[in-house]
Amino acid sequence: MFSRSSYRPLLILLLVVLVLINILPAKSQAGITTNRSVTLSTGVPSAAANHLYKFTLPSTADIGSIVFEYCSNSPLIYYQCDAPAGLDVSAATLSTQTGNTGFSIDTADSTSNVIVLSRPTAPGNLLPSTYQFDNVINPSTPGQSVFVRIWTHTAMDGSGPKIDGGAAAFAVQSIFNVGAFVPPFVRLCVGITVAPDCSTMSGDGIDLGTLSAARASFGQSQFAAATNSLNGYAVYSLGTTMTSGNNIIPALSAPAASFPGTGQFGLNLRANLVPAVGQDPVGLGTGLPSANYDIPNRFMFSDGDNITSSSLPSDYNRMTVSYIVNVPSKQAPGIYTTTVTYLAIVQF
Amino acid sequence: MAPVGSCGTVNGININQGTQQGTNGFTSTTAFTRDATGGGGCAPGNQTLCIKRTQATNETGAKTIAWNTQTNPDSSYISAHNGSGDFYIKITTYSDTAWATSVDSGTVAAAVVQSLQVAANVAEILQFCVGNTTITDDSASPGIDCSAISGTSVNIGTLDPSVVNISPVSTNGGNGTNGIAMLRTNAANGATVAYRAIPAGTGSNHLGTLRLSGATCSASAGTGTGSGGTPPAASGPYTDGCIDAAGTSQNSFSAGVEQFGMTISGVNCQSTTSYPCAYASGTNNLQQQSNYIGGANATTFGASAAKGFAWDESGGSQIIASSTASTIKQVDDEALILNFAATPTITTPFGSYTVQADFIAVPSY
Repeated sequence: MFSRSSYRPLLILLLVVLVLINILPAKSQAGITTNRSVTLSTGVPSAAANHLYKFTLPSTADIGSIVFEYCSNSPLIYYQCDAPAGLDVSAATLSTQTGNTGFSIDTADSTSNVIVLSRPTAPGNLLPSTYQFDNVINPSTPGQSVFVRIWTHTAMDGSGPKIDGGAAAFAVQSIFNVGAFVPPFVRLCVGITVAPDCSTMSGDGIDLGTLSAARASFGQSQFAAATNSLNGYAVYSLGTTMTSGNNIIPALSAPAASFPGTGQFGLNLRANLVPAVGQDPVGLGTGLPSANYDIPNRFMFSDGDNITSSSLPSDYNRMTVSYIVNVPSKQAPGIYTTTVTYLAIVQF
Repeated sequence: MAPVGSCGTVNGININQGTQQGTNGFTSTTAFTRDATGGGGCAPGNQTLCIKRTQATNETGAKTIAWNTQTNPDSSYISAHNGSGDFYIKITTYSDTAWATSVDSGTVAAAVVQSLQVAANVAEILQFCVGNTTITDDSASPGIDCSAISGTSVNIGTLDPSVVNISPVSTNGGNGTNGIAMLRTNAANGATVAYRAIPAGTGSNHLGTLRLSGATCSASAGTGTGSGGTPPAASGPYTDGCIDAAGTSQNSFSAGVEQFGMTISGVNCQSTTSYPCAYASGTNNLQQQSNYIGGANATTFGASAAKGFAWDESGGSQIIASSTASTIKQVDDEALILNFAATPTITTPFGSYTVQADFIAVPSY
């Protein structure tokens, strides 16, 4: 309150004074490490793993020990630490250390969920530091977040005030499975022409024209086969020789050369010169013509013969089947036909 | 200290300094100046400020003088007064500049207080989970967070050399799912997501790829191209019980040329609430590594044989996504949609093929 002089006008002054001050409690401030991380060599629950820690200290305060405390409940030091189920670091070894070095595991002060690294107390440096622990048994609970409280201490045994630190985190996961099924494969394609991998095929008939005793008539078709059977595959030719009603052209029962003017029906799987027909097998598979059908310029046909086989899983092989027909001059006139069926058999 | 009686000590205070910062209500704008010598009724000291001006003018009414550079009482003053920081300032006006003739006087009160510091800790956060999902793009949420993610397998069904099976496959034994890896972390330096093929415990060679249990596989990889209908080498390793892995580079797949791999068709943001996140606009913080981008680009969902797949069978850790290069490195429930693909050759032995992997998230706080 102001007192007032008897004859002076009232003069009121108000001094404005800044009155707030910051008065903080005197206490030490722990520093927070930066770039903190932990990398697991495997995230499989309960597996033996390597845990690689990386962090950078915020100060050069003296360090005598570093404590790595695994907790399932919180990364904060204000909370009691619940050890993750299944975790066991008691047999861990320190395999590498960089940055702030000179540490060894203080087994006396370490537990199943705490690793204490110890060294003679010395100032820290601000370099990034790494520490790899081998033979850490991972926690057993998939999906559970695990926090590792990492703090430096001046004391060599992990006791006393925490100096600098923070937490890293990881989570183990159930093993993830990817599955697929490969079925038994046997692929056989037949046509006048087929692609080496059966991707295309065309034609299903051969017209040998007018048969003559003076020359051989011939034609060709193709088939390709493959399988993933461990025992390979076999291709059989089924059918009859060429017939016209009751008239037949005799099949060659053994490999024989083409003799125009003689009744002959046969086939083989090779490139021939007499007559000029056919191709040798192509493809990267392991299928081969059977012996009786693997002689150039020799032909035969026997119903149910195995003409190609492989004893192994085989990629595609394309076989070119050459057909020859010879007739004698007395061959009864008519339209001679036959149907040859190719059958692939595999055993899985 | 009390407003009456003698003036006690106010610890730490120093008002005998500074200059006039402003006035209000005075008819004369002539500034007051501090006088460090004083005189008459004013003796300058830490607790006394003597100011004057040369122009004498009668004044009435409310006045304000702002004076800067005043040092408040310190904390010992509060402690010495049982926690009370109040103090009183007696103000006297004089009609002369020698502080000889006083005119008016009065006392004002002020106080210093202990400041209140509010502190809180935000704990490190990590939620990471892996499972399977029917989600294929960003149109629906795979679940609110990791609590909604489940499953431990993806089956891509029955393989045929005429096609490349790409998950999800719902026919011929496929379980119609993709893989999913969801991450939440407040790591300020970002996080990475990696996978590691778990080497099979039985068999030999190619232990980290899609394989028959216990298969003894060729040590070498196949060399066939398979393009244009040209089959791969039958005498090569394509007859063993291992489907060759695509390798660490993203390779296009051709039907019938044995390969197995994985890609990420995109990042599902439907569970993200902390920031705008849309894969189509590239605002997802968790970004695929370049060799695990399944779509045409990093903003288009997809997976195709032409774009290809990768798979490291070595058992080493392979990073497939990261937020470390993003402007915002924290990740809020962003989900990687994982596509697996395989195709056999015609000679790939029949049977059930499996591969196991574990996924690891590494946040850097």
